[in-house]
Amino acid sequence: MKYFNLIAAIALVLTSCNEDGPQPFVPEVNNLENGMVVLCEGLYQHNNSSITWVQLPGGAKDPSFFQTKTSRALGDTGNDMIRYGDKIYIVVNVSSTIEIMRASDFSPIEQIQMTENGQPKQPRFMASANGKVYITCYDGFVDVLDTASLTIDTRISVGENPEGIAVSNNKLYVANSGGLNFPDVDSTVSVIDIATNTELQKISVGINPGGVLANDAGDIFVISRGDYGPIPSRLRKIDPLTDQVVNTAYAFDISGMTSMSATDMLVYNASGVQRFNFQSDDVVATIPIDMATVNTLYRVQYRASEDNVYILDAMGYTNEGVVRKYDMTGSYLTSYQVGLNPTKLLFFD
Amino acid sequence: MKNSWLKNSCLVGGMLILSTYAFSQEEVEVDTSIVLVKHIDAVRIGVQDIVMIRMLPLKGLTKDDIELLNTDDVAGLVSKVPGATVRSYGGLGGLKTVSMRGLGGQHTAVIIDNFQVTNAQAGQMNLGQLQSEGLESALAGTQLVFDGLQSVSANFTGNYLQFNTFMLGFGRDKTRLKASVRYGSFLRREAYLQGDRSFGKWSVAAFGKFRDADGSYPYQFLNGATLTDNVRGNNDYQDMHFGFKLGRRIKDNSQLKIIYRSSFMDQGLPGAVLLYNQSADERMNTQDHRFMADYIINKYQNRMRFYLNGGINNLEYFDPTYLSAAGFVQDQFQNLSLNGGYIQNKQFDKIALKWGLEEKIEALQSNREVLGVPFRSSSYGLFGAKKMHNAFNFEAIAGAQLMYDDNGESQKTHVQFTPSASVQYEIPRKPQMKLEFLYKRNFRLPSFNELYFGEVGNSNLQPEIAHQFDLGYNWKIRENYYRWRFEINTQGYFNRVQNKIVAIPTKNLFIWSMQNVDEAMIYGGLAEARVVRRFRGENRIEFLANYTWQRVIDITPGAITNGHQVAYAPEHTANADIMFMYKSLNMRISNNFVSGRYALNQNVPANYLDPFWTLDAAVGYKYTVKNKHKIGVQINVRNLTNVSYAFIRSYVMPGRHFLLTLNYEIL
Repeated sequence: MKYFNLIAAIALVLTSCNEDGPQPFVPEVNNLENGMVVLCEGLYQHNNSSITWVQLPGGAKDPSFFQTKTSRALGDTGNDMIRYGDKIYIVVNVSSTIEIMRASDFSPIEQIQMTENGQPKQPRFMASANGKVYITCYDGFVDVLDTASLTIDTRISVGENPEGIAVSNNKLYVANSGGLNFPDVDSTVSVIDIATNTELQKISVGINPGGVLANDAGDIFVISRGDYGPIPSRLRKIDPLTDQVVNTAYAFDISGMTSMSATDMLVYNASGVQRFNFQSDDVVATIPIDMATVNTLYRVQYRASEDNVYILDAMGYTNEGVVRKYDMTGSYLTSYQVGLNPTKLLFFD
Repeated sequence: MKNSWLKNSCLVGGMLILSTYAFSQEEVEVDTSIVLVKHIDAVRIGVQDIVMIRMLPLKGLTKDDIELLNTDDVAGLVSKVPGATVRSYGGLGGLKTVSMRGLGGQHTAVIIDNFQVTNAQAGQMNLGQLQSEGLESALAGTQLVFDGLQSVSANFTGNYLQFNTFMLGFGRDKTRLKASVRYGSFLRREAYLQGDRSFGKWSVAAFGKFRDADGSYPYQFLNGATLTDNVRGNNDYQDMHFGFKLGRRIKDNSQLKIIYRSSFMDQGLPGAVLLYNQSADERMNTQDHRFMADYIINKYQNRMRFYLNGGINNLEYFDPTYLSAAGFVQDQFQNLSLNGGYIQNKQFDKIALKWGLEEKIEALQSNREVLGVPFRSSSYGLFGAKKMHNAFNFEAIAGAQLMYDDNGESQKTHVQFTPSASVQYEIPRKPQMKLEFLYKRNFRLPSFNELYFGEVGNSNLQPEIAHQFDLGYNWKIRENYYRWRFEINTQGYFNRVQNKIVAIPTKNLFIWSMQNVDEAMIYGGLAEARVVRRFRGENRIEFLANYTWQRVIDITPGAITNGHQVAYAPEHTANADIMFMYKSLNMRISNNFVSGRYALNQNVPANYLDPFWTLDAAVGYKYTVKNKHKIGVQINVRNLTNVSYAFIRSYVMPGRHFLLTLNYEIL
């Protein structure tokens, strides 16, 4: 009994010690080929946005690929990533930066601080055309980035809290969400003349517009996300010649859309993925994916070279994400564990 | 960061060796004839008992401890308590909440001078806004002392933090005055004044404090593999605290107290450190007013207390550059609370009883339409009994609460029971050894924010339920071991939390909502020890150490994180303090260790936060003139080894900083 305390304390310490497991293999990547770059948003104020490199088809990965290449972190809340020319552009929203990397080997080229008078512009999404990258900024502007000089040429005033952006018919279509005025959100899409960098008009499309997509024919599709309550999230179509909303009658719920081919795109929400045909202007098929195998459908992408669908599963938004691969018959093929809240894939053959 | 361990080890080791050598020059027998007990006029009492008086409140801190620690707020004191984890979002003025024994901050009652202070909007108190000046003691635990007279509602929470100030007692018939000025790093200045005295049947006490600081502190932040230097901006802080007490003895055995306390705080909010984005311009302004009335009747073996407590808390949040149509955000909230109650303890021949009632109403007004006008009415009742039988000491309390919630759109009524039972067993022929067992069922109500705050709120939330099991072993070694005295206390605990309220994304990453979804299991153990070596007079060395090991595990069925340690619950925490009292010189070295933890519930490397070990030092000198005036000077060095650390991811804490304090007391 005399030494009970001592023995108990030692036992407590010893039993509470953990051993680290084996370190996973991290491939050394000199060139971006046979793999995919995955942008993971991370969580607000956690500074844990990241890039995962996944070697395909084997799945060997570097979960800190950006850090491996730059020796620094990506920042807070990476929202969008595009490949344009020989560069990759990454928008980091809360850190308010644009990271520019070489598309050949992911080596860093430039980091652009997106601030105006000392205040963060909070960039969100990008589109590219004519040697420029157009970046929506939550402070109510679209910034024009010259891809040669890597500087912001000009700022184009649009509506409040712009989100998605697409290019068609030498015009930019920008969804003005007004999200920071919730519940009094915006309901317009700004149309911008690329030649003059001026806003031509605002088109009313329905409340809380978010995603914007242009198909090969130039038609513009916009998702009006509703009020997350009784007003549902719905698709709208804009004719780029007349800049009129030509279809507001789509009846299916939608949270996102992604390009697929000249004739089709994929539309999705938490209950599944469907094929939308531009000719018939409607959903024509459901990809029969067993949604019970998906925890939190966050984004969907299509890879034309293998005719497969990739579901970016956010796993409840607070757990490491999973990229799940299915064929067009809905059969599960494989999955890859990635960072927190995967939001965009870039494939490299 | 790992280098800090080495630095701290060398420093502590060196100081230990030096201090032992210094004291070894003056080893003497303990004078057992008479010892002056601080704050009690010359009392003849044996040293053995003195030691026990100092050693008994192992779960708490004495006035001397508090003065020497000289913390910015009470959170600094709470971090010394075994089983307590302070979640700190910054230095001076930063939000600080406490998790005790793995339970959330809403399960901990904060009691000041027997009054429970609450905030129905947040559901928990910001310990960073409670001042540490004027405190006479700080206690923490699971079960309130049976014969205490704390507010009835304080018995309904899982744990408690009890702070007693100089205004709790009736005061003496001569003036006591204490004044201090402080000057510290980050352009910090402050002045504090307190005084009290009694005039026959009347007593008065008052205090006032002013403090301001630029608050911009340098920090280091790990960006990938690179350690970057920066300065924490928009961290300015100003606060003022005032209070007074008017006391009146009604008869020899009863007294009435009227108390008013107010606080005014204006501060910049630096927010999280965001990589590549240094902008921060949000501000917060808080005003708190509390009016209290306390009537205590203290008859022989029969004590009763009537109390009334009204509070108004105004909070304004201002973001001047918010990217909305208005271009700014200015949210204003006003929390109103009023509670009154009655509690009585009575000792009968073979049993002690305790009973009480309390009624509390709380309301929230704001300029946020989405919040509505929440109103809550709560009725509490408790009945308890305590009986000693041979070596056993039984205690049982039954409590019930009826709560009615209304925000204008929805109404809800809850009835909750809070039974608790404990037994203490003194091992035969070893009265210094005790075994304790406690069971307690408690709950915490959803806060107004959790219920009603826009899209996040969920008015269908149920109370979060916690079952607590504590098994304790207390060993007081009174024997001398080469003139050293020891006390060891160990305790094991097991808690289970159901209907845990957490925010989870529901519709998308931006639309989070409060849900009763999680379950958690908590088990752990703590050990604490105090070792004292006395020399001539009041000279002594004391070592205090505590260590807590706990597993706070997500046991939500089907969750990805099932079996994982929950976010911000470190598995190991420890404190180790060394104190030297030599003539008029006091010195204290304090170590605080927090092990690695996770920023999210998923225990993966990306969420892992490094452990940290901080070292504080204090040196004080007090000089007494004619037993009436005491002049003191003290210097505190916090984070002596300049460790870069953050308990919460991206909320960096200050590096090495200093605080110089000049004290003057009329005894």
